[in-house]
Amino acid sequence: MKTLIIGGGVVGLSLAYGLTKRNEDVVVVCGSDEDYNASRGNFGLIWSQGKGLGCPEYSQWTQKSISLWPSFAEELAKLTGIDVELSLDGGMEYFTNKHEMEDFIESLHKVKKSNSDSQTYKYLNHEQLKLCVPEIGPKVLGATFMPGDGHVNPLQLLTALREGVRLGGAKIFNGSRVKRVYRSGDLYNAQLDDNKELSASRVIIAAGLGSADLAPMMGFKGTVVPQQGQLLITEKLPQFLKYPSGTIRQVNDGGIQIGGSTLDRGLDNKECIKTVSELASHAVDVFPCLEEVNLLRSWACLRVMTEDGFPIYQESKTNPGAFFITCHSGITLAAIHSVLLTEWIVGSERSPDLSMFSEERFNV
Amino acid sequence: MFERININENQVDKLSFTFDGKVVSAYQGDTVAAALLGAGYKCFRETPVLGLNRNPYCMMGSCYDCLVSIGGRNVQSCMVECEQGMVVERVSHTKLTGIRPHEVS
Repeated sequence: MKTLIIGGGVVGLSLAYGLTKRNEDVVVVCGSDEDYNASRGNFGLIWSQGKGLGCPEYSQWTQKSISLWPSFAEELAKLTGIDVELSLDGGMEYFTNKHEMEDFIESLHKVKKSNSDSQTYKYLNHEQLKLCVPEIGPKVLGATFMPGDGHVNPLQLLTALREGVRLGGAKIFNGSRVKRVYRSGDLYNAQLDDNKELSASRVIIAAGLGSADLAPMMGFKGTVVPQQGQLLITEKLPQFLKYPSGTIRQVNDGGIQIGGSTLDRGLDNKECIKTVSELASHAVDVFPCLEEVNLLRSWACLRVMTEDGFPIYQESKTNPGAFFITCHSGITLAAIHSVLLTEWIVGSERSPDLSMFSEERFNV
Repeated sequence: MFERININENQVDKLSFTFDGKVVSAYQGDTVAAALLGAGYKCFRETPVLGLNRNPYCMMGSCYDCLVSIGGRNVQSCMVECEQGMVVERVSHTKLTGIRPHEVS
């Protein structure tokens, strides 16, 4: 069966990769460099800490994906020769504000209670933390640590997935926007901006923020919400940060990446000095040694959020074979998307129950 | 390795600065990178993670390979004009940040 995937980011390509591994015929339409491209601007975390409050299935799904990541990364490296720089040594969240810390610990406690399979977080006070991360500053009250969390080089991942999909025999159309997607008989057709038409018996809409326009054409609600995050990167330093955090991590070639801002700015993807300086000053509070370090670049990118923050995996009721797939955590979930979500798409006997992630949960 | 072209020694102002404690002579208008290359330096710094030798590559502010430390900050030596008595040091991240690198696996 031929599958047309609209969206050449990490989410669309993880599915394309899973499908080509099953010897399916796959065509991917990848938008242009001017699109919002969350896959090119993200922070690269593989993260369970703090996720799944109010949805234990999401916590389990996340945990399962993290457990699949080592073999996923190894398989990609073997196939493509590209090292995605995976490291899963555990993740820290550093706190300089008492209320934020208490609220966060309470949410970790609730997630753990609702999903006993999840990793057990540890709370470290300043003194305990100082023993394993001696570089922390006096303003750090403590940290929560989640074993098994980590990070990856998101650009290497995108490159490896593209290469893996290409080697798997899929065709990728680059720089092509889908203007319209429609059904004619048993086929789904996509009209590209150069008026070229592609058709397949299965269509997966995984176009990030672009899904807002495309998913309703197939009868989905298609609500995706942009949330702006800004990121900074410093000059390269010797490797000293073993554990990434939600706001500070050291990339493989030595730069310190700083991020974690959340702003509701609609589709505005420009960074601003105020946020850049807030992010930098938080990073210096946590690691005073960064004060004299040069900042090289800053940028903003738009997260692709759903209304409740959990993924949407939906097959159309009226257009069987048409799927709408979206999530915030495309990096963390890349491993499971390439395996279990792919099984669900093709409807194999190993297909998981994903009814929790149906779009119908938003119908009140 | 590098030599100056078509220059009338009598028409330029000369100055000197130090790199890692050693005196380097330069002409007014030289960038620090040009002066160091002219003085025969073949390695400006070592990369922070793998410790590989680095020299200027682009000479136009783009590649960051020519980093040196001036006044306690890491700067691109190709973007800084030499000044008389300037103290230029090799980049030392350990000194700069107090970082104790853990072993790179």
